[in-house]
Amino acid sequence: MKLSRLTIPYNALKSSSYLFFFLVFSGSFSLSKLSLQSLAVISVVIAILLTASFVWSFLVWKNYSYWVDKDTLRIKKGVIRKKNRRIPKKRVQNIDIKRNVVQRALGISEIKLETAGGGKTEATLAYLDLEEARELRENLKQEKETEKEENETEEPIYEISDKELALLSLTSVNFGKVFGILFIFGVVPTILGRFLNEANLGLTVGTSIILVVLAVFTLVSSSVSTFLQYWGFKLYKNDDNLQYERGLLNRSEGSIPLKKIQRVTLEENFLKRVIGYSSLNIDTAGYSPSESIEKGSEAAIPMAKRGLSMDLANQIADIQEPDLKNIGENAKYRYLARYILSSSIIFGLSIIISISNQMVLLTGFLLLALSFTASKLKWKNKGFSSGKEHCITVNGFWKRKTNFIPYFRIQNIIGTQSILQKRLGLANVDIDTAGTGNILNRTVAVDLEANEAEEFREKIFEKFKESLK
Amino acid sequence: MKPEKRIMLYWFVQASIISGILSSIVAGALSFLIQGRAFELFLIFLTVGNILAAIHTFYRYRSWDYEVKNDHLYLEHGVLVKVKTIVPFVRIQHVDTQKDVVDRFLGVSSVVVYTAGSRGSDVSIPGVIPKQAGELQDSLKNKAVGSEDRDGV
Repeated sequence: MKLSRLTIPYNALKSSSYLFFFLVFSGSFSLSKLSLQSLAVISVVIAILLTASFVWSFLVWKNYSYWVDKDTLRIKKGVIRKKNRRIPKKRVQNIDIKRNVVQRALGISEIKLETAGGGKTEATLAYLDLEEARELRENLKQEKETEKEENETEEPIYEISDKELALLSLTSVNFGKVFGILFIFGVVPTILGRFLNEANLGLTVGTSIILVVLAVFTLVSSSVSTFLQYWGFKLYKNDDNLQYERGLLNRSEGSIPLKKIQRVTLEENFLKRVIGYSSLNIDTAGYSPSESIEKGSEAAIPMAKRGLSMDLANQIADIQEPDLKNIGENAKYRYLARYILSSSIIFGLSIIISISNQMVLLTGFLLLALSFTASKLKWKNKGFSSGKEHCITVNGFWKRKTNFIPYFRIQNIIGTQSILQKRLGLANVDIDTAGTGNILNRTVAVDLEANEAEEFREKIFEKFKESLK
Repeated sequence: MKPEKRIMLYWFVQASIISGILSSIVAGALSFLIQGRAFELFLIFLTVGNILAAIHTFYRYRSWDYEVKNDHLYLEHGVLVKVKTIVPFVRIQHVDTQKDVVDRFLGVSSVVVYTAGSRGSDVSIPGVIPKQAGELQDSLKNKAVGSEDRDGV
């Protein structure tokens, strides 16, 4: 099968659009000196480049073909260097179809296949007619459900409501970024000003306005982008697959085989917890870590009441409300020490910039109280459990994540204990699964009591062995 | 089981080189601050560094232990952070034996076990006598049942 013919003009114009930008840019500089002759030269150059890029796009299209036979997808491509790929259907993890605004107008779409292993998307077919893309996706799914084809128009198990979308847009704001901006432009100059004895480094009316505008802009832009991204989110489930669609301007839709789910994460950041909401992320071995930061992989529930999220998690992966155990008591001291250490830096700064001794004293007292509360909260928001089907870890106060890993998905079980942890009788248990683990996104039960960590490791290993049978 | 004792030589040389590099940097910076005595400082740091390297090597060897159990491979190692790893045989994708230049000089090799896990290549057993390494590789390979549906991916 061939790609859509529209691919040729689309790619040609896309690649030459950079050229136009360049010409407009350089043209605006030399407009005054433009003679008829140079204009002619420029148009000839443009014509040549355009033709070249059309010819190239045509050659790419001409040399690209794909087809699905019994159990593999085969792709043949390459103008200068030929490439021949076979991807076993069985190995396909998830399939996403993406269309941006222009592509939607043209009726074409990009289809992306993920397999386990390798950091990047395994195969991207760009571009197919939407219908063909959908057909290809159906073809690539495991054979089983051919009979079910007729009742395609089933109800989604989840559909984002206006309220949920609004809440999602508001709560997914990256406050870290906003605070970062305020800190760098607001606080840092004040401190520097003290050092350099130059009052003009401090806040003026002008800079404060810029600061506020910057902060508001960050807030609004992230809200708007979330809004556009998750507009009309729907999630369907049939026997073997989860299927989602979403997006106002750029549409995406995709599917995840239920059999390939590596990890389910219930994510409740502080704001969401306050209003009783949560989101659900689903990891497979296919998505590369960089793609599933913050908002997680594609097929997830962006925003739903906690109860509903758990209910859906139960439908998707048999997840039950976990019976959590606390981590080691001594971990509290560890966190307290950590917070006191880091707040002593702020205390030091406060000595430099403060006006009176009382203020220094007050800050010191506040910081100490804050450290106590923070360490207690940090401790309280961690936990672990070995459930019936999943091992579970909980972590984080600001961004609480509850990870559920089916026992069958475990690759390695790694227990670690640093010297500090040894002193306090604590240990970590790192549950390694395929694919999803970059360093920031691992599943680790942190600071369990050493004995309990040992038990936990043994227990999940036992459960893992049972799951193999 | 423990790695061969001679692997300590390798580890020590490694740690000693690192301490040499660090000493030269720190000594250089310090001598710049106090104007002079670069070489003396370097020697002091180097001595301290090498003593630390020796201690580290000793404990590193002491911490190392691995065992082929009936359904999994168990490893234990680490000085500052103690790491205990369980690798179920069903999850093993493939097994390599490796020998770098120093390994060849010492007459040992290392066995590297790969799983589909993101930490897979972490599982490496150093200082195994080549003949034993080959045997270990074979036995692990045989135990890793190559069934596709059971690899958890």
